[in-house]
Amino acid sequence: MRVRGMAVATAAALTVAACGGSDDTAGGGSAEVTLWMYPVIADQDASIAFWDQVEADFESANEDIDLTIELLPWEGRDEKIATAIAAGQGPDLVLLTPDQTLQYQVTGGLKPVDGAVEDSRDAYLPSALDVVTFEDELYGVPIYHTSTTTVYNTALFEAAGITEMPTTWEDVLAAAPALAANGVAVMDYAGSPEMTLNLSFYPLLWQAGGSVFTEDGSDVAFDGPEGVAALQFLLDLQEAGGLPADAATKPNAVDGGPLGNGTAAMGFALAAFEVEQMRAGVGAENVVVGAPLTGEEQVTFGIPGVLALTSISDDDDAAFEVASYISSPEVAVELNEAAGTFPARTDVEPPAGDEAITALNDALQYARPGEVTPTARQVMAVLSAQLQAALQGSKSAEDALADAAEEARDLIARGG
Amino acid sequence: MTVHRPAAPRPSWRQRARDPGWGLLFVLPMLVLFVIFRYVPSLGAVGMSFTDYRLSGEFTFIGAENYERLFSDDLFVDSLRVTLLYALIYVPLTLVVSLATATMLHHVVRGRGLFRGLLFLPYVTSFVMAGIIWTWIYQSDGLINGLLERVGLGPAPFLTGNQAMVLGSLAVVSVWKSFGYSMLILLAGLKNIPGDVMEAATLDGAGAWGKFRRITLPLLKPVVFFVVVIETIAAFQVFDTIYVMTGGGPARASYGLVYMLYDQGFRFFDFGYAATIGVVLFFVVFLISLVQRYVLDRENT
Repeated sequence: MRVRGMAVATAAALTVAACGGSDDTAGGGSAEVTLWMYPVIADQDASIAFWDQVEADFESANEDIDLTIELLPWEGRDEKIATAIAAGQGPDLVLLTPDQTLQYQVTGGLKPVDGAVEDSRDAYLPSALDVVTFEDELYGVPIYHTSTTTVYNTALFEAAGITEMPTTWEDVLAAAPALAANGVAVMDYAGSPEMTLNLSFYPLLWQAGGSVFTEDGSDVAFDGPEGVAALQFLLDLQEAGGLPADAATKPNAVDGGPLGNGTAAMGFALAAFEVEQMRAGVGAENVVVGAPLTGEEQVTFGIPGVLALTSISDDDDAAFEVASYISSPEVAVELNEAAGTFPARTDVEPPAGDEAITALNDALQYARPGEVTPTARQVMAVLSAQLQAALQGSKSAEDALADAAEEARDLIARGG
Repeated sequence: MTVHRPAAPRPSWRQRARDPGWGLLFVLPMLVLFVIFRYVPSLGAVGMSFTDYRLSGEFTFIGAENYERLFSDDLFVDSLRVTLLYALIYVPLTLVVSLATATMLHHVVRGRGLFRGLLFLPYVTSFVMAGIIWTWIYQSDGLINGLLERVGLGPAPFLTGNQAMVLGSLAVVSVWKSFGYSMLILLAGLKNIPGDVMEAATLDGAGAWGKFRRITLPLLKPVVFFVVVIETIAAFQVFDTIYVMTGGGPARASYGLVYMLYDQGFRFFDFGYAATIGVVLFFVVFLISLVQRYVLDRENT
């Protein structure tokens, strides 16, 4: 028996009430669209100014649509989005990552957005669309793309007598002891269970040639030889004094963390704002932005930010107008400039900027947007706990990954 | 009624005010709020635990499937064990600390209000702030480890070590945060002990410890029982400490029941399963309270 819940009944009641009470405005075709935006532009004042402008520009071009852009913090965003959708009181459009998009799609929280890209589908990076396409329907309109890469503190390497920055796993391992002798970890690693593995273990796994899931997503693949190699790389580094002492539990903050206070010499999968924080912490002259690290392969992490349409939206066409406008080349160029992000479409010039922006733009070609499957989050939580066990020295790389895989397979068999 | 007993005097306003109906009227506003915001959601959660409730509000009744899944879920067994272990550390510790501070306050002659306020302060501080600061205190290069280093001791892995160490460290923070409330309850209990009983004991030549053990504690038993019960419930509901300080880690060393509930509900959006954990948590706490009541009552007689 399939039952529609109370939310639907309530929504229906509200719709009836709305129709009854707003006959005069309904005739005018006025639609309200609420968009939840997040601090993609990290500077609060700049963020408010930018989105106010977008709202004003959009409304002057579309007088029949009343757009409200609400700026929310990153913290606790899933709780807020989930409860808002469940309660039927929330945004029509919301900025999501691909992983979130799938999560909300399988739980019935989203509607497809193919209508927003009808005329411009070919302009987007194919990978940015693929990662939010489920069952042949598009669930997110990409408005920007993030990029991450390797960043070095050259002063720390030079103090240890190393002038050639390490670009491969072997180089990193070889450099570890000399830096450890100075009390410096060669590479930062954040094992806190609250951190996404997309910025810690997964890039290393991909660099080893492995993947989290098999091609069709029906099984996990991280327990193969590639996964073991990636974890063993971390354990070998740790053994050589090449990771921060609390690598198993630390968060990935650059500001106030080892990269920001000069006790770790390089970070992989760092974004533009983290480069800025590192420059502020250890001096811009000591910070060099390189290409993504190479194991068996050269890979890093980068994802599109997409606008998704919630199941509680009531004027889809108006929402499509908004999404289409914000993803348009004109807005995209300004957004990238303000946020330090990169274009998610091919008909937009890459942002001009300093060598960090250039290096990050170059790194885009190696960027993988994570592996998006219905159980990706649960599997990440399971794997994260076992990685901690390995980094704490209570399990070998093989055992930790085998235990995680066993647990993950149970999860997948149960369908999450 | 007045028709059949015309001789009876009309009840006075005072007598009518004692009528239970009036009392109900006075508590009605609170009762309504309680029913709307406590009982209805609680019953809703019980109902939800028999469904696969989704974000969109769409669901299917799946009977006891969530419960079957829960009882065969190793993660549930693990998190129940973590919660029990945490309660075993937290409840005795908080009882000892609140009893000790209450006894001290009871004997303070001057500035009682000041000391009481100072000791109660942690209870009214924002836990998230306190949690972040405690995380710094516990860090490998934090306050405690810095002091340990000065006396030549290696860094202690407070939040990164083995399970007993992590849960112990978290329990200390929770005790620091919440002993004030139990302290006040125990202090009120201490003040209710008649002075003449103490006087008689002193005349009989009882020492301070003897008086505490043989007179204060037995007379305080109902209050202690209450404190043990509410602190046990608090221990089972622990979430904020773990959320702010360890995120359930390292390697699930502090992955308690409520943290599992949070993960299932708000990270994985499996609301039905999360509700199931909530219902089971309720019964676990209920059962433990019954056992505690039985044990402490039996000792009383």
